[in-house]
Amino acid sequence: MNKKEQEFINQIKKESETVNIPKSLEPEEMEAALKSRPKKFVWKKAYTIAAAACCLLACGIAYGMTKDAEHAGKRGAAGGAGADAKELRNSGVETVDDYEEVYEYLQAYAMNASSYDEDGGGAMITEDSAADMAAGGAETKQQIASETQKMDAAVPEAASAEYSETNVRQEGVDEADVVKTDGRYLYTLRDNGRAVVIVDTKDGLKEAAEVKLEDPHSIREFYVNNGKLALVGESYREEKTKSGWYMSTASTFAVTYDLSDPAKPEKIGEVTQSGYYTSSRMSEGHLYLFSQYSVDTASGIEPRDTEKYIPLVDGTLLPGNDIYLPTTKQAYMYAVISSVDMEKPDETKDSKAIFTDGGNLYVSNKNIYWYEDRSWYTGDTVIRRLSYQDGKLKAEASGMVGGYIHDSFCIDEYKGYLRVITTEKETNSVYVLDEKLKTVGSIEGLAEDERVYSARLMGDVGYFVTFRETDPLFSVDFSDPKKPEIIGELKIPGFSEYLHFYGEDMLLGIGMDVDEDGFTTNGVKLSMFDISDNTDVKEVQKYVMKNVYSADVMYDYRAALIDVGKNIIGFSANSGDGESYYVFSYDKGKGFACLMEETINGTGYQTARGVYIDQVLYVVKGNIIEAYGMEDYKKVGDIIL
Amino acid sequence: MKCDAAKFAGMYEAVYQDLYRFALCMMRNPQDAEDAVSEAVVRGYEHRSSLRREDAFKSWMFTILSRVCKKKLVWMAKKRAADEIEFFSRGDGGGEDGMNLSLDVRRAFAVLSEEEQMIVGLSVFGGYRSAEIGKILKLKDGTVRSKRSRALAKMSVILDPEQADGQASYHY
Repeated sequence: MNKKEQEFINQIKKESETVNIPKSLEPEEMEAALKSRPKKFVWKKAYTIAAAACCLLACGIAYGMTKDAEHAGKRGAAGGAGADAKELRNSGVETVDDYEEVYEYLQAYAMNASSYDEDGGGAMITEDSAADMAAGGAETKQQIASETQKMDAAVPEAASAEYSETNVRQEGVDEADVVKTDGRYLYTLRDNGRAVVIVDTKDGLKEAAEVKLEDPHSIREFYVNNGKLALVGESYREEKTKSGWYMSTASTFAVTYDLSDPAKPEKIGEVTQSGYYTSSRMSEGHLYLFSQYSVDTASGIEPRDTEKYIPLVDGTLLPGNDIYLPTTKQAYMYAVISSVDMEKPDETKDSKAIFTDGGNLYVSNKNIYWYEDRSWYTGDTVIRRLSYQDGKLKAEASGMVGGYIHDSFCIDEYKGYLRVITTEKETNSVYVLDEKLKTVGSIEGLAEDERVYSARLMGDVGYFVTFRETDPLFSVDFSDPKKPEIIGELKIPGFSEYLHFYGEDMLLGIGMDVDEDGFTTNGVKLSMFDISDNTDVKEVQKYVMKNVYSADVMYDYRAALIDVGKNIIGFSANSGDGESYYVFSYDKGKGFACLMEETINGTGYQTARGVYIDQVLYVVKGNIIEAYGMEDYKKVGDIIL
Repeated sequence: MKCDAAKFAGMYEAVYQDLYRFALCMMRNPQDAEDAVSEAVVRGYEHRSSLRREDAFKSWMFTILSRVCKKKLVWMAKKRAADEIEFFSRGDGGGEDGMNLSLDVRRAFAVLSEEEQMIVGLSVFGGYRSAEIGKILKLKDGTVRSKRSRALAKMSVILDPEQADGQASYHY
């Protein structure tokens, strides 16, 4: 947020301080009300709105509770072995017969919108996300680390220069970002989301071109691959409805440019689909675009108004046989998933829509896994699998596990099995699911009163960190999918929020150093774990960055520049003095050494990125790119865009 | 975390004023705002066993409250539609006596979409950053940032007319 916006927010806050708070909401009143409330019954305050509302609400809540109890019972009966797909209403792989069927689900949601925890309306919140916020207190709290780059940053065949690539979750599956390089040019997204600036790094930094999209297009991130630049984002349209509400509708786009001459990019295609841009991936020459499209059930839809409730792809209604039935009895939002062959960037190759209540995704080399917490009180996660070979999308299976998935590193496909690490109520679990997403093996009840902070799986072994006061780093043996086994547990103070394999038998952790009391944080911590003996993992080196209270890499793995071959660990971090870019190296005997600590001068919303081309490190933040020679990390140039 | 009514009320004390102000901006009407907060409190209390960290209480309550407000608004809209009443633009009328929220702020909120109201409300009263709001509303933080900028730019036209001309530069 810029200064002006912050001032504006402060102004609104100040102006609202005159508001009288009703007496009934004062803590003493509230405490008394909570105490006098009959157990498991709706507090009378909920009845004070209009009579009709009262009935609906009360019924809704009561129903929600019954379901809760029912559900708990079911899980109990199943011996806690992890729920499977039979608890879902539909298998998740059947498509709808016609639009009318879709309409019925939407209508069911509309009619039920006031029953808060209804089956499908579901996934409200997880406390963990709240805890995340409280614990982190920093900007971007997203996901963590990457599988790629596990040894060396990939060296592209085409370019002669050695350069870094975006730190991604899954090796072989590229992800969009706000800064990219092709070995000569730097590409960076303007903070206002309207343009990507192309900067030539040959003989100093020079602006070569700017690719602009006009309002209402808003670029979120982009790809630079095989001589093409693909911008992804969304465009907004806003309308005032009859009832006086403002409705904003969004359409997700991918606009592709040919970069034969990076100084003169040429537009070669554009595709669109309904909804807000949520994410994208690129794999084997295909772009996969994800958007979330929620139907405005509130203002009333009619079956014949198909364009109001069926997703559009490239301006055409998605056919019924590309829309999968919800796994719940009602629905209001789609996840629209499309593929684009980058050789034909002006048309969508395939497209599917599933119903969702907001989820996250993990993309393996073969499948897209969409996972979402089913509802905040049961704490179950529904997982759906769609295969995506050569741009052909197909829903294959759906299933369910207990607990929530902290981030995409806690879900990992290997040899046809999906390994999932979850936090469920007070404990943590490990599940192994087969291709049908049925649970075949599990370990439950791990690390009571703690929750998962980070995970990393590779091959038959996985590691994950839970935390409350100390940081147990668990090692899991997955070699027998039916019998996953905890084979090691290392307890050290603090916790790691990001794990990254660092050469043979080494695992790097970036997190916070916390006193034994579990409360006082001393700063960002780098840990190196020796994993040569899985049953006896050791923290062999550690480095605490005193007074540095957060690092972007803990919230967004793409902010990491980690290259084992070059032996560099780069990321931006915040201290009382502002934001700086740090580069560390690691030596088995001497531990971590800080090679660079330089103030970042750019400002803006986007988190900083470090990329290198040969022996020059570029720190990019907002409107400023700063260049450092990697021999001595002295500044060699900069450019203001 | 063990938590009885007294402990819950203790944690609630630190945040209830901001919860109410947020609800007021969302619901536009003191009675509905009061109901929303009450209901959110009850819901939070019901599910307090899953709140594991005291310092997460505020985020937890804001998340619940924003969901409660959202569902209430949806319900109210449906009710209006069912009653076939041509309703006033929200924020310009009905039930605002004793609201004490400055007219400018009310008007400024009225020009926003519901989602934008949530985002601005959580920024102002929750003090949250974009990523945190993203978690509450299940949006990407980049989306939150751009929506918030858009929303603030719109509001600025009302709250700070001098800024209206410079709106373009204000956009992001």
